[in-house]
Amino acid sequence: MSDSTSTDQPAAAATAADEIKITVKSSADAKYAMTVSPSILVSDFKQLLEPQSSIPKERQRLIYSGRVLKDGETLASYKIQTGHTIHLVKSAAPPTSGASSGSTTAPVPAAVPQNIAAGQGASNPLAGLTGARYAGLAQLPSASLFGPDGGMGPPPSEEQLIDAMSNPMVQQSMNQMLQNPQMLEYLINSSPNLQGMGPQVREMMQSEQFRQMMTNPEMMRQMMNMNRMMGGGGFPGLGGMMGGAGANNSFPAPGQTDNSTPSTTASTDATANNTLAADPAANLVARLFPGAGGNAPAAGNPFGALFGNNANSANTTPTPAAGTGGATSPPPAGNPMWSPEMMNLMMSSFGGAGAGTAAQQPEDTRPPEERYESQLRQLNELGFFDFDRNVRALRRSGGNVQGAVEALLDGAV
Amino acid sequence: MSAKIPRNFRLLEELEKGEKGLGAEACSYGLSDGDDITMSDWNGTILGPPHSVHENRIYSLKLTCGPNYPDAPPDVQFISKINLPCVSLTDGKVDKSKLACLDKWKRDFNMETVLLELRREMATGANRKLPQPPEGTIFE
Repeated sequence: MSDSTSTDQPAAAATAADEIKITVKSSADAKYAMTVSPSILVSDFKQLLEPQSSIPKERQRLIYSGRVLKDGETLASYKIQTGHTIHLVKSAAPPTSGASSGSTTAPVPAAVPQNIAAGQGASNPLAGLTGARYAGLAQLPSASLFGPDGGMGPPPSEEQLIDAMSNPMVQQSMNQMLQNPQMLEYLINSSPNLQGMGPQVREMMQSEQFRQMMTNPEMMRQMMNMNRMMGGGGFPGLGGMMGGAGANNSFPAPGQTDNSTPSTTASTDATANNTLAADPAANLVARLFPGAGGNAPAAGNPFGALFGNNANSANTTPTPAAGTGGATSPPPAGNPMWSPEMMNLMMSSFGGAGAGTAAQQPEDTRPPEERYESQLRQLNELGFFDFDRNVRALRRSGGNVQGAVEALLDGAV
Repeated sequence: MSAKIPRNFRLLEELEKGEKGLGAEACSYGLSDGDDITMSDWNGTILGPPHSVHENRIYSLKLTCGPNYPDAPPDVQFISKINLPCVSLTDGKVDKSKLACLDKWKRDFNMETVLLELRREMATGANRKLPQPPEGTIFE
């Protein structure tokens, strides 16, 4: 059986009696053939590898047969023989303490809330303990939020969501979640779009105002109204958000049983946009965009004010400090989160992905019978047979059957 | 594919694969005592997956292949401290019910399967962000 397995090995040619011929495999398929005496010290062997691998000896780590080779030992002590392979791994840059908290670019800012939920770096001895609670997500909205069937049935209605958000407990946990840099990281990372947007998103999500938007039921009502007006159905953003956080597949919450909830909730809710489910975080931001779109009911609505702030103030891109500060104190009036560049950036990335297109999409050019096919069928089933009225009502409600029915009954169309 | 490969042949095969580095690069394994004719105790290492908190870390593990291996899965225990849902925080033992390949063990699986699955586990959504104990600390 050995002959079938030796394909990528150098032929075990005869070497000097006591020398062994070994292969060192490094990352990116780099391989170095070495012929050495088995009595060589690991540290000396590393020295030999230095020129070939161009990895300084201090940063070389050698692994053989499931063991990390220690500098003071000889190769022979590990029973390394001709034909065997040692793995070479480059270790992280010397100051290892900081590198462990987040692999990506985002350093966890030290200024974020200092409570225990803030998630410290790995250098903190408590990190293991406090970190564990995120695994369980103990305080996030429970699965029952999604209904007795775990969300497999119809998604929660907007009213239900609002109710849920009016509940101080839920609100608090949402807040806490959004304050938790790790959670943000997770949200951001789970969405390539948000990732592409760089550090600004993180700052935005950390801002007090943003959190308020996400947790204030009044704001939500506003958003949903807008949402309807702009042609989005339901409230997938929030659905996705709650789902994404509360019961996401990849979030292994012990005792959490309904794995499939978020996607189902979000995608059945969204009128025609499958990507929503996959992209809870992007969505949630996207929902804010009807306001940015320009034709939002301007004054008297908190978003109008939010965006209005910036309409005529030339804005600087947010500095990192603004974001961190945002977590604990409201951002300054200029509200750097919503600088024009930022808007453009976000809009373009959302447009590309199709998430949140409800807000951005130009007129859907498909004929109404195609566009509202399923909704029209539903309306017919409900006994509304006037095609033109149905279409008008659906247009008005943005494709939302319930809204259309209301409009039809009101005689508004 | 008929005859069942006896335990020791299987383990010898795995031993060779480990020593010669024929398997995946991200993990490595070998007998902890080359003279152990029962081939029960194994060392394993997992190179932390990139783009995660585990990046650049090397995790050491102990694998124990009982007499019923490969009909029964090996016992797996982390030596390096790690914060991972399927790993006990006290002694580093991998909870078999929480790691799919151990829970639904098949005869075709081997130690590499386990190590790679653990590595995958480290790279998944939430796990790759879990705060980790300082590198180099070990379970007592």
